[in-house]
Amino acid sequence: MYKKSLLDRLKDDKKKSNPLMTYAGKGQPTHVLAAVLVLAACLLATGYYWYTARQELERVINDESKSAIQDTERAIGTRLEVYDNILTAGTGLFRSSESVTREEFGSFISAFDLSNRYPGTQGFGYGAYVKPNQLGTHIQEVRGDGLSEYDVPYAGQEDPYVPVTFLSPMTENRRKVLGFNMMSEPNRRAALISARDSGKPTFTGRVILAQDNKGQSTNDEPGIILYRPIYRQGAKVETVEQRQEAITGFMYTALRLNELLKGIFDDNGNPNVSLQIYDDLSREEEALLYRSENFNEVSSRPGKLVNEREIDVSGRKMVISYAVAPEILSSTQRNEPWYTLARGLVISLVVSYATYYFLTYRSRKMFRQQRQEIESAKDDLLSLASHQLRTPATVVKQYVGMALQGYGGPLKKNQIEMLENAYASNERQLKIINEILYVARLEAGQIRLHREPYDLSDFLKKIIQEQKPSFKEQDHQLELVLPNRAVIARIDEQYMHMVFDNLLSNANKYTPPGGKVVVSLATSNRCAIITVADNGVGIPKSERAGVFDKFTRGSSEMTSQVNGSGIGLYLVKRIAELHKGSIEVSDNKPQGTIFTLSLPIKSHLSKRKQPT
Amino acid sequence: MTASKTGSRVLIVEDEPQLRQAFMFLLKAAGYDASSAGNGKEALQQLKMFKPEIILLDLMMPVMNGIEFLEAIDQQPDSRKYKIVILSNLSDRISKSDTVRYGVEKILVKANLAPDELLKEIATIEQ
Repeated sequence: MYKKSLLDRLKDDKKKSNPLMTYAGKGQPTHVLAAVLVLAACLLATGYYWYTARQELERVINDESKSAIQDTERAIGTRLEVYDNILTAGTGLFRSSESVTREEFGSFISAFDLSNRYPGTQGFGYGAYVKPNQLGTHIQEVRGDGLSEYDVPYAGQEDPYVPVTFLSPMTENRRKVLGFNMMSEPNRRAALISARDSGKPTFTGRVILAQDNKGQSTNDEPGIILYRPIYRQGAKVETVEQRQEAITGFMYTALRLNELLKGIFDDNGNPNVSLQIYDDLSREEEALLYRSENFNEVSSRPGKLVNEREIDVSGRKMVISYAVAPEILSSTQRNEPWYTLARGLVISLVVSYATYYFLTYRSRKMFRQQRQEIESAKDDLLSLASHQLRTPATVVKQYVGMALQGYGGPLKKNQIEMLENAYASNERQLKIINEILYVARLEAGQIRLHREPYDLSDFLKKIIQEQKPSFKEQDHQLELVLPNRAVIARIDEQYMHMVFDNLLSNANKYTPPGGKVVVSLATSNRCAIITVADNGVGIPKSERAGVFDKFTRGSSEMTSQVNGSGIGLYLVKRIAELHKGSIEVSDNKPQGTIFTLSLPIKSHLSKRKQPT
Repeated sequence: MTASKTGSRVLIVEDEPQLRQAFMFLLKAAGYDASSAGNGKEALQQLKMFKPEIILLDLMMPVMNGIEFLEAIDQQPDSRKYKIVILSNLSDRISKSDTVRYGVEKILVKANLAPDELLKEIATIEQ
């Protein structure tokens, strides 16, 4: 039953292990492929995350720029609203009293503390709406108000006049502006007419402010003027005609955009955010109202984002462009896509390598396991089979031996010859069985040496003594060369006996009758060197490399190989190795073979002089 | 042919019947008083009746193997009165320390011994 199960196991293992063996042996490409696939998948995922991170970054910058635009729009709007509120208050002043004097206007405006609280404004003014036929009267009235040099240049009978009538704060430069007919300049004229007809506060386009133009200032920074119409108290102003009829003048304020916007941005000046504002939608250089000093620099940076938005400021279309550089984000934020990429690459490599390693490791392990199982099953079977063979062979030996030795009665000469042949053959059979058994047990790791210190000289003497008769039969000379000091090595006597039994019987067998076999012992480099040299047929170089190889375990080769010394020398080699020694084969000069066995020696013992 | 000088009582413990017969034949022919047992347990039963002086002990046997037999008689107070020879093909299955512990006289390998060599070995132990 045991045998059967062993055989079954062998068969099963073979079936199971065949695909596995190819898998482990030639399966590497499969593992590489798996690893590559995993790598590809990981890289794909990495690429996706990288892309997403980049998108996210762009989104963050974009949001940043959008919200900056909104902030700006709101800030501008808020600031302008403030001025408009002052203008509205001013119209109230004009409406509530029949005539506003220069002084009243001045004190009204100065109450707002313009220069400190509202940067960007050049001041407020009032321009009376004067029809051509009333121009003379108007001039007389103003002059009568204490402004004796007041004059309005004559511009014909067609158009109404809107001369600068009041100004606050008043400076020497600005005094000259008084009387300047704002209708004479197309930009202002358009805004004035639009304001008059719509009743709403209205901006001019980009203008050169009058006091700058006429005054000492060389500063030609652009400005805008915001007009708010004033209608006669109590008049109906529902239609354009009614408004044209009821108009009496305009409150206005001149704003320097640079200063106005600087005032807004100084508070949160960010070197990575910049802005430009165009007066109209043309986006042409002449229409440029404002441009941050760093606008060109920021908008040329890599990864910048430019957002544009058209806005409506008191009826005027403007374009706000925002350039936001990625540096607005922290370097950690900005580099996040790269970190993602790097992390992903590292993880991809690690994971794919781990996959490869795991697959290889697993298949190797399985392969090893299967192999071990097969080997051990083989060894078990071999051991069992050999043991079963050995017992009957031993029985034969005993009976033939007894018959030969006369226990069964006297024998004739030819009967003795027959029995001797049978006995010799049985001996050979037993030897082979023993060797196979030893090999099986060696392979199964079942052999444990019982090593004890021996004087190798004594050991070899004993062996030679045993071997002498068989050498004599072949007419061989058997010599032993020993050093004059003890060489102590720890050996397992039984197995070492087997080693020399093999080496010497080989020498005996492969040397033609009348040969010479020399066994010598020497020490070298903490090793005992034992040589067995014959002058026999020698071993061809081509076969020498495989001389210590075990027979191939295929069933057919086994029988043919076992006949020779195939297992014997394999056993010799394995036993030498179990003793932590080694064995080599070389040519003897002029002919024959030398086997050289090296064994580690107990140095402190071997140094001792041999006792006489 | 080697003959016994004293005709000692020898117990052969061997599971292989033909081998057992061969050794019985050989020992009787050589003048020994021989008896046999097929395993350790049978051998234990023979000890009182047959009172062997020498025991030839196989190691691998069914029911009770050689080592178990050695352990069993080691418990007995008069165990040392037997001269024990291991006669097995598994000579390296018993360690040196065990041979000392159980008072084994000799370890012989069946497959290596010719009949008269076995008798010679027994003769040396007998003395």
